[in-house]
This record gives sequence, structure tokens and C-alpha cells, in this order.
Amino acid sequence: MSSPLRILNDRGIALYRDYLDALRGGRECEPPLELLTDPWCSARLPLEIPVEARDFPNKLALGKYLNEALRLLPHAQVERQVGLWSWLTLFYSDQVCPVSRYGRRAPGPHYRYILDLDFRRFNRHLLLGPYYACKLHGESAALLLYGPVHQTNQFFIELTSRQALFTNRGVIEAAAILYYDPKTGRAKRGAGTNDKPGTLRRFIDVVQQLDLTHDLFSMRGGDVVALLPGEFDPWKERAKAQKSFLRKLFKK
Amino acid sequence: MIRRFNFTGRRKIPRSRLSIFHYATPDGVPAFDAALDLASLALPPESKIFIEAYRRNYLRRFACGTVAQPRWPRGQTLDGLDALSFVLFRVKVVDGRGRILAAADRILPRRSEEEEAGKRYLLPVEFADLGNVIWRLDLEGEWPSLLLNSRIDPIREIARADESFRALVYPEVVRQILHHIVIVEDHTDPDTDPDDWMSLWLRFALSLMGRKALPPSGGDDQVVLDKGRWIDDAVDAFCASQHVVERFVQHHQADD
Repeated sequence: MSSPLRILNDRGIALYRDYLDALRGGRECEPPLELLTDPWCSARLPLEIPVEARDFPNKLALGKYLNEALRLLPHAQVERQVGLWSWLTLFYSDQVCPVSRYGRRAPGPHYRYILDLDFRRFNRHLLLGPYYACKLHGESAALLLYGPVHQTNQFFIELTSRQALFTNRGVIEAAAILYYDPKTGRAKRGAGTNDKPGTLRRFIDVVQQLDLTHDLFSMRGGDVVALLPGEFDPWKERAKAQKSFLRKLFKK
Repeated sequence: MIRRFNFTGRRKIPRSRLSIFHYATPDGVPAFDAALDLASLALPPESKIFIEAYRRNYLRRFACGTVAQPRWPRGQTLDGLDALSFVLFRVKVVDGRGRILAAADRILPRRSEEEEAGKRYLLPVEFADLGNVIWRLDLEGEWPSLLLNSRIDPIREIARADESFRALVYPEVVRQILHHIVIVEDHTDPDTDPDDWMSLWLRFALSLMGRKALPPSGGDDQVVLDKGRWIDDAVDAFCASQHVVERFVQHHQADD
């Protein structure tokens, strides 16, 4: 089933916020889906953009779908449209705020559903974040976007909170080479452990140092990986072994 | 006192060699012109030049040819940015292996033709929906900026010309910025990095005070008290330079 994309207006956003507040206050209520089409609470777009009600296995699939669905809208107009992203999160309520096994919806902070233009929370929107990561990095965003739509993984939080890293293709590709396991579709075990050599936090520290001396923007992921010091060798070895395994599999 | 050493081996491109002009096209689209004089840096002619425009999670990168054959942007639009937004620039000269040979960062562009060459503006103003708050100082970004509530229709005119606003808001802005620099960051040496915003603000404060007495450095209780007094003196000097009290009184007498 598909619906034409609309934009929640101030009134629609306020009512959506009331609904989220009610849920957070412990009340049980269904998403106010009527706002999606109510002309007092939402407006049509000049262009008809159909969006499908469907389940996404992970945020990467969601990000790809949104990039495809919104391709006719200029990115500059889309990315700061609070009403558009709020409409979409309400539309995908069952994905962004699913009913738990205890039969309740438990929403997180508002910025996950209603786009907050403050740069510290901007990418934390549950739909814009995957859309933006996919737009910037394509398949290399897999490390940032594994896991269900309503959960934000540690790699996404750490890497998107640093603008210079998040917007850098080579760096995100390097992180994916080192830490993403395509077999499991998740991060490699131990990659996010704090204070261990070669793990995510150290990757961020080292890359920020390299950024002072190297133009990481002009590098591919492999080039960035090659610059990393010895403590990353075990991760590099694993990445190499994985690559040759995949190559053999592909040949077979 | 914080001293910084350059262990990176890369050269610094002096601001005097850079000219970046940021403006809005007649259609309201932000654009910029840039030109650099790299001749005196003796860089390898085949080195590539890149200019990056950035602020927070916005980044656009432009390849500008090589040192031997530069292609300076003229009328280069910055898509995805409001015409009123302020943006910073960074310039990199890079060798064939991706190493940075020379760079300049946190470059505030000139914003109008009238702006004097060489004159730097210290406090960009931005407009944002601040809810019920009229103004806020943003010290989280790469450069401090004054945020004004875009819900208030004539806020631009008020901030520019309203004597009450100027008298009550700007001294507090100066105080908050100096507090952040001197007490929070313990940055007390204006010569650390001549292009760093904290150093520029410290030099601005010293020039207002007409003396060379730097704020003390450290975090002891007594030192923090002395820093507070230094900030009080700087704010007082700022108010004196702007004739804040006289203008405020005259404005209110005129109203009566």
C-alpha cells in the first residue's frame, strides 16, 4: 500500500509531539495516523511522491528506499524539512516506535521522530539519519546502519557526531573495511569495545590525527586503512581474510 | 598558558594571501569567489588545491586545479545552504600521495564589498527558531555565533539599530565569550595562533582595554577570581568604546 508524501504543518507537529509525550507519560495510545491526511494538520507536496508502507530489515534498506523514493526532490530542500520528516516518522510509526513484546510503545527522545535542526541532534532522526548516511556513503554506510530501524548503533552515534568524519567517504569506507562483517550483517565482535587497541574509539582518535597531515577526503577506504598504525593490524588481517574468503566464494 | 607546536610539517597559508568573498546571488543563492596567492610558499607546481566550505554538518569541496595552473572559483554556488547562513572555509594544498603540504582553516569570508580588506568580523549572526528565547550565543561550533530568534520578524533591524538591545545584549555576549575563552578553555595567550578565534577575541579585548596585561593562567580559585576581574574590565572597556550608557540614556529620554 502506498500513500502520497505530505508535510506535517505546525499544528500537525504539535499534535504528534503530544502523542509522543503521552506515550512517554505511560499512556497507551495508537499513533494519530489521521494527521497524515488531515488538511488542517498536513499539506500536499507540489509533486506527488508515493511512499510505501513496508517493513525494512535494517536501516540500510530503509536509507536506500528513502533515497529512491525522494530522488525527485532536491536534497537541499529535503534535508531541513521538519514537517516532511515528521510526516514520514508518523507514517512509519510501527518501524520507528514498534510495539514491544509487552504490548507497549516506548519512544525515545523527540529528536528521533521530529527532526531537530540543532546540528548535535540532526542526524539522530531515525529516518533522516539513514537517508543521509546512504546518500553520502551508499553501501559503505552498512556499518552505520545495521540493526532495526528504531535502534541507533554505536558506530552511527560515534561517527556521525563528528562532522569531519561522517562526511568523509574514505574514513567511513575504512571503518566499514575494518569493522563490518558482511557475513553477519553487523559489526565484528569487539569492534566497539572501549579502550582496546585498534577499536572504534582509537580509530576515531587516530583518524583525527591523520586528518591534520593527510587529505583524507581524496583517499579511498583502503588508502586510509593503509595509513593506520600497527595496533590496527589484527583488524586489517581479519578484513583481508574476509575479502579473500568472499572472493573465493564469488569465484565458486 | 597554552603554546602550540606544529609537528605536522605542513605550512600555514597566511590569511593575507587569501581572498574569499561570500555573497548571495540575485536569486538568493549563496555563492563565493576565491583567490589565493601561493607564490611565496614555493610549493611543488603539481600539488593540487582544494577549497572546502563547511559549517557543522554541511560540507562542500571544490577542486581548484594545481599550484601551477589554479582554477579559482568565481560565482561558485553553495547548494543546500541558506543565503543568510555563515560558512567557514578551509584551503588545502595536497601532494600526489594525499599529504597536506600547506593549509589554512577556519577562514571567515568577507561578506560584503564594503567590508574593509583585512578587517575581520568576530561575531557572525545567524537566525534560527529559538522558541521563546530572543537570542542565544552558540559556542559549540567552529566559531562563536550570535543566534537571533527568526520568529521575531524585525529582529535583524532590532539587533542592528535598537539601542536597548545593543546596550543590554552585546556586553553580555562579550562577557560570555571571554568567560568561555579565559575561564572554561584557560586560553590566555593571544599569540598562540594569530588566526584562531579565541586569540582574535583576546586581542580585541586587549585593544579595547588599551593595555598589554594578559589575563592570568590556571584554575586555582584566586586565579579564577582574577580572571573574572579581567573579564569585568574588558566588558567595561567594551561598553565605554560603544558609549553604551550615554546612548541607552539618550534613547530612553527620547522615548519619554
